[in-house]
Amino acid sequence: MRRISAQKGMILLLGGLFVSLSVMQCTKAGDNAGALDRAYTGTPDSTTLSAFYDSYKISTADATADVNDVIEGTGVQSIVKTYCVGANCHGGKFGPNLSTYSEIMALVTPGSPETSKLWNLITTNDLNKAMPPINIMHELSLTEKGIIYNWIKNGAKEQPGLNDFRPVAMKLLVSGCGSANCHNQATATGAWARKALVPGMVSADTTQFLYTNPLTGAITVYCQLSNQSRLNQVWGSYKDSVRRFYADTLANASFRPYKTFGTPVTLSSVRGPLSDYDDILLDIMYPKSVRSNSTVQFTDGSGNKFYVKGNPLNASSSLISRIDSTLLLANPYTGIYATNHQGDMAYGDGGLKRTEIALIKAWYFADPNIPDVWKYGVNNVGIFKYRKTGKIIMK
Amino acid sequence: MKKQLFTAGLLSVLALGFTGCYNNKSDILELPKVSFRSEIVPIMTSGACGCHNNGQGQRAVQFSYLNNVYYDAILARVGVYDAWIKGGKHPGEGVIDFTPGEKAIISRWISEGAKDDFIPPPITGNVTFTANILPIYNVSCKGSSCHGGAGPNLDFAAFVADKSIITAMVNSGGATGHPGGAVSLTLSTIATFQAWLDQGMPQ
Repeated sequence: MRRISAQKGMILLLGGLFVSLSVMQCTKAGDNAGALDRAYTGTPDSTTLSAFYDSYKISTADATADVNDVIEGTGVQSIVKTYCVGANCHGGKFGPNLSTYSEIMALVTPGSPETSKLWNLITTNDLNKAMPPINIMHELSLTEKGIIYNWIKNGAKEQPGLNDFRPVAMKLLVSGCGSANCHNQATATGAWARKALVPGMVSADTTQFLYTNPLTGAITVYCQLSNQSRLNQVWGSYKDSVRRFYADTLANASFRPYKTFGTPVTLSSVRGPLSDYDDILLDIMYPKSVRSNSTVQFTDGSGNKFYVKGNPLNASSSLISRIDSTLLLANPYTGIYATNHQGDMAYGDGGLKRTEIALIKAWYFADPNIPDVWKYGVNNVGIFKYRKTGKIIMK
Repeated sequence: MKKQLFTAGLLSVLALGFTGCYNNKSDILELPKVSFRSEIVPIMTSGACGCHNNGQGQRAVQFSYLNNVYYDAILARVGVYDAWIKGGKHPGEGVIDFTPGEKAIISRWISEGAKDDFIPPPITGNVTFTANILPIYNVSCKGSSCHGGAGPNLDFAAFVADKSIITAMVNSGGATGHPGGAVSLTLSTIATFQAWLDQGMPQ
């Protein structure tokens, strides 16, 4: 057996010491480490746009993207870049590089955060595997983890689509427009109840919503239908009546009244409820101008009356034009564009941000449940025109 | 021999260098808390809370307008958020609600103390009631259920008379002293009021 010199023995000893020190001392353990919990404690939330890039120009943008044509936010790529990519990390010294979509996708199983390596690295409580390394005190926030979770859960797409836009748009419209005395079912049906237009209603079915002006203290009283079963009955019957009436009209080229709704609503300033997706679709396809608040009505042979009038295409679904002042809207029946924008429900009233308006537009034109006539008019001649360039949105 | 010694020395230096890893045990203190400025404020200033961000103060307490964010107004309503996410509802009725994801973030922020995470720069100039205190009061303290509504409207004389209350609120960040219950003040507001107190509460 070959003899080992004293010097070589010393080197081996030091080498062993070095390895031991490195392994032992670099093990991320201890009192503090034991108390850490990197697991995601939030709740998956598809109503927050979780996209890969920070910025997207929507497909129906103006010739040169206008202020309401770009969706902006913090994307997955930016988060990964902030925490993982650098000259001394996964952008230079260490592999894998995590700069591009394809590089990041190597760590992702679309639709399944739990089996995605990226997700496991940023949430594991095995601190010897945790990324970013726990000792550098550079940890993702709850919000940032949520964006990555939702992005993977929603398919980890490079470009967001309908399934990403719709939940966000619904939240913005339902919550943003359905406040106390605005576009909600309780206020609409409450107004009918207050005017005794809904038969059989007693005061116990309603509540008074007292709105106090924060600046002046002035109080305004709004009647709301608080009996939920009655509210569902009244509003459901109303929607059903409108839809069936026009469905019959379009199919048979004649008015065939279907259903009654108590005493008809006469002139009553009732904002169209936007309380859920179904309400929003109703508001788009059967705008308020062809619905209830009119003296024009039809009566069938049994005396049933309806809150409808005329041709549903001879009206304008103004949901988008009311929030986007860069657009002009045309009546699909006449093809005549408005001369002034209607966008007073955007920033000045609804407090919508530009990127939020772009998100709602992206949803609107991507949703197959909205007929093309309310996006592009009859025969795709267009009903939305950009004020700045005159570009007409067509399919 | 020299080569062997050099190698041994190099290994020793490397070993010493790697002992930096030892600091792992003391560096691992805590995970980041929920950020008021970057996680809570975006929820409250989004279009889903549009009535609070449209510049129409006669309709709802304003949290932001255009590029101005009223951090105090958002922070002062911690109690409202807490009651809401624990089974309550939007004080202004309607079909408005936080999403489960938002509730989780807000809940954790409150459990962590519901503090502002912005460290303001030191205040060096003159601080007066008219120029500095009144704007904070108008934006952050007035409301239908607060001062000027259900609560008393305050002017300069009232502020001076309530010096002990203001002092207690400044010292506690709003946790104590406020007759209407605990509120939460941003560090900017605390610093401004402290400077005003220090300068003798000038009008």
